[in-house]
Amino acid sequence: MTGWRGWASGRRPWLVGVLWLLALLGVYLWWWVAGIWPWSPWEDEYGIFVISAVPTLAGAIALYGVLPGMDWIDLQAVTHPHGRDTLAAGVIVVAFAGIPPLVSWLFEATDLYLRFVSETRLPPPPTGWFWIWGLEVGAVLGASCAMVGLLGRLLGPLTALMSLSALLTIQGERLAPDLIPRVNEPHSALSVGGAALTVALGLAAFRVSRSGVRPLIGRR
Amino acid sequence: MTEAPPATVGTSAAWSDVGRSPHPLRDWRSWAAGRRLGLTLTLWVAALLVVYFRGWPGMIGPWAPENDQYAASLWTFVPFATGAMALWGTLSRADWIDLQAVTHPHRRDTIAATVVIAAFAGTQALVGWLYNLDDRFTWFVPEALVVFPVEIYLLGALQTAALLGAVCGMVGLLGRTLGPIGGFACYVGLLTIQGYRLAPALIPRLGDERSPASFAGALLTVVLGLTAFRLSRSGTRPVIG
Repeated sequence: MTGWRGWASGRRPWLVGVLWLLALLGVYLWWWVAGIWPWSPWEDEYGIFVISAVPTLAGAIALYGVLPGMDWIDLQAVTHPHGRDTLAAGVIVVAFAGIPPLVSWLFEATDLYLRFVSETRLPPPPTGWFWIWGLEVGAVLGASCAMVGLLGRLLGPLTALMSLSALLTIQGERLAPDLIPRVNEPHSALSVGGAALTVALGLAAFRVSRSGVRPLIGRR
Repeated sequence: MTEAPPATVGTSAAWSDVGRSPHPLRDWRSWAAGRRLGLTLTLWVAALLVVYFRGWPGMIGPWAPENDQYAASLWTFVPFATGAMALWGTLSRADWIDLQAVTHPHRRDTIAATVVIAAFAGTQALVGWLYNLDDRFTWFVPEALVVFPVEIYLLGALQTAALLGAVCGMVGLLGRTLGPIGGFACYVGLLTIQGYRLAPALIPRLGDERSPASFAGALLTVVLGLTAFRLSRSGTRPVIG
């Protein structure tokens, strides 16, 4: 019990390892503002946006806040808390997806932002873009919920980075313009429906896996 | 015929009533007791503030004093943010056991935190070395590229180490959950001080000339942060809360 092995058994050192690798890859592959692969096809003037990336990543981390950590107790529970977990995950998806439209409303409701925007500022993005960003955040968080069902509670939210990267690549390279168009391009009913379906399927997978306690991969 | 007496404790009817009554484990409050809703709420507020203050290209503060060509950069933010989250991986959640432990795992926690600081600060130095090692990076950057000098990467590593040291200090101050999140305030503070050149001798911009005081300040931040981390028993007994 006094060795490093005993110490590590109560902690998650491999989470540290995964995050270190992510940091290394993130800095190596994308630190450059003009980097062209895989996160930011800047050569075509389309890259990552703080407006969509921050709510997405914060929402994914926020999922950790509603996931149970006590397997032994949860698996024996007669009260089935997983229904509430799924509801809470749905609230997270809506709450974080709602940030871009809420910010858009705040920009329009008050001129407080003029205190921290330079005088030579760009014109604000159209309101419709904020709604699309919200839709993107919702879809990626829905995919993260699905990954919780697939990979479990620890790895699931982390895969939001992958989903966001894939979304940016598909948009930037225009790989599926009908289903996943760029923010500034016309959106069809198919793209909106696809995002909504991703959320619905993600939450269903989340529920079926009992909030990731019994994921599809790694089932014991 | 007289009515049946009401069910009392000890009868089967009483137990079935317990099953129908508001059970202490069936409401939202008890559900929340086993989870970390404070983390979720904090992240939502943080995301809202960041998007509101930084979402617009051309904003000037507090994250991005872009009017003077100095702003949050990915290569400094990512190692810091992932390192702060990585601290969660080394912190124990078994308070009841930890506080009674005779093996004092907190010294190992402090060593692990030191390793986290060195490892995540080292990513920038490592990437700088990789960029100067060969031209493989030209696979994913445009041809018209300019590589930073190695010194800039080393200064970035020192900055990340100081930030993660400050995060350890925040763990000692605020505890294990809020500490790493509170580290983001340190990052914003650093950017603001650098961007507006509020303390050019102690905290200069990465591209500016650096004094011995700035190096000493960064190292002192790491030492003090780890000391606070250790004294709070890895955040189990933080100063606040």
